[in-house]
Amino acid sequence: MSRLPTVPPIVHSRLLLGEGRDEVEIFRRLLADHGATDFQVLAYNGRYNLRDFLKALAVSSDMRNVRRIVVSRDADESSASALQSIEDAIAVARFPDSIRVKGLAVSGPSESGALEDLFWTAVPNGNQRTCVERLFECVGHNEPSAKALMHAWLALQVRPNLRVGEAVSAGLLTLQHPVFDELGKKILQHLS
Amino acid sequence: MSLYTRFRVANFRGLSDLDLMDLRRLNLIVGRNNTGKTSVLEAIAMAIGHPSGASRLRSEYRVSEPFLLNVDANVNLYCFALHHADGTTFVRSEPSKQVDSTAERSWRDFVGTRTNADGSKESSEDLVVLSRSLYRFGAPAERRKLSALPCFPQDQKQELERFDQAILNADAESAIEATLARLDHRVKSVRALVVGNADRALYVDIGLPKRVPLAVLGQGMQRLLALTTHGYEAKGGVLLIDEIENGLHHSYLEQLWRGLLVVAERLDLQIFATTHSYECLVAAVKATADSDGLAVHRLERGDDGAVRAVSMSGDVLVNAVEQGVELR
Repeated sequence: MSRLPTVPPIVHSRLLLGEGRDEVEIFRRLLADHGATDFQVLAYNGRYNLRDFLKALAVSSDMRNVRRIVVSRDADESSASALQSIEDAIAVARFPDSIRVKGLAVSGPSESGALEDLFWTAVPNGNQRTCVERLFECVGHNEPSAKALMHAWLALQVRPNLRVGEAVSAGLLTLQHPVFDELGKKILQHLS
Repeated sequence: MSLYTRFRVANFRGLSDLDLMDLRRLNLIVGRNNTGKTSVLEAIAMAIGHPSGASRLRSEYRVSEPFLLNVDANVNLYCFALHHADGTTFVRSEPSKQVDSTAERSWRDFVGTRTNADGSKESSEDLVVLSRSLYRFGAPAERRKLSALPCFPQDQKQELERFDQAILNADAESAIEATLARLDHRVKSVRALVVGNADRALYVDIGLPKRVPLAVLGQGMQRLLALTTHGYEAKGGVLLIDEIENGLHHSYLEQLWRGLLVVAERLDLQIFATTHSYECLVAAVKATADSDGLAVHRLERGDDGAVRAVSMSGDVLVNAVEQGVELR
């Protein structure tokens, strides 16, 4: 039996929710890079858990000081569908009027995609990028997702078993790219 | 016994206007320090006609303002003298007449007296006008049986008397022994004995050549015994337990709540308990997940300083615990 709640104590007034550990690590760094303070990033452990997580959060005693929540998820096939799914979950949770809750779909250059699309965009041109693209061509996979490309690229690194969030922490991936700058600004706008 | 479903208290200690909704057979009251958890227990005791039950929960109590209590729309109004534990005078006041619920009420609508610290008495005419219009004054709620278990150790003599009263019930002896055996499987029986010149005390058979005093088996064992005997004392009524987890190891808490639900149904009890412990809260939710028997009421102080209650039960509670969010 847990002796303490597994969700970390919420001490800030602005809350950003991400799908998992990767998002927590990346968003935390991204917002810090933008000079943001008084925010906290929590994972809701996968989109299929979002509805239950929000319902639980809405009755948590830790919400007493929270005023803004941004719920993010990958856009996948469609930003509009992803946003609708977030808004449905927010409506079911019934947060008090004192808390403003907004959804944010993270997409690639188009209206679809995921966080990995941004990372793949940010991976510099060079041998590794070319080799990864050729690998997929070689196996007849002509339109690999950015997730697949990023996993293959990560597998080429010195520590081949890292997730994107861990790769950012390890310094293998950087957030110093215009696509992340844009994402950071968008999150801050939603949180303000 | 029908269970109380709602309890309101206004102007009592730090509680300006608190409404506990969705009461169940087991009610766990949580909240930060100084939000009024024990005050709610006291108020419940008073509302159902047991001011002495309230005084058992605190060594001293002092109420300087008139206050209102409301159980399931039946209202009791009590007026307290200004006092400390020494020289305590409890003055109960009843409505002198039916009062229009929309009208402003004053102490003049009630017959009451208070005793000041210097011993002088004042009649209701001398008291401050109370202008709240929160309640409809009606007949007092029925008086129900009540037992109150405070968080600190009990007076041993009273506990022995309670044990004696409990085992007058044919099923109590085996129930007490079974309860204690869940905590320590060696427990076979419990007896109240006078040994030599020592005071009468409880002794437990744990399979040794001689019985051992209950006191040497630890605080958890005494707490469990007290929970059981207080349950019998309150049979068919209300049991109040302050800081229920006191003295009990966390690994036992789920079993405790499972047992409490069974005992509460068997003895027809409605239980109100407080806790600070997350483990205790989780244990209560897990142990009662298959029933509708539990509600958790969180007391929280708003920006205006007033304490309000957030009541949770059923799937909402189970989900919140599964997700691991803070509920206290």
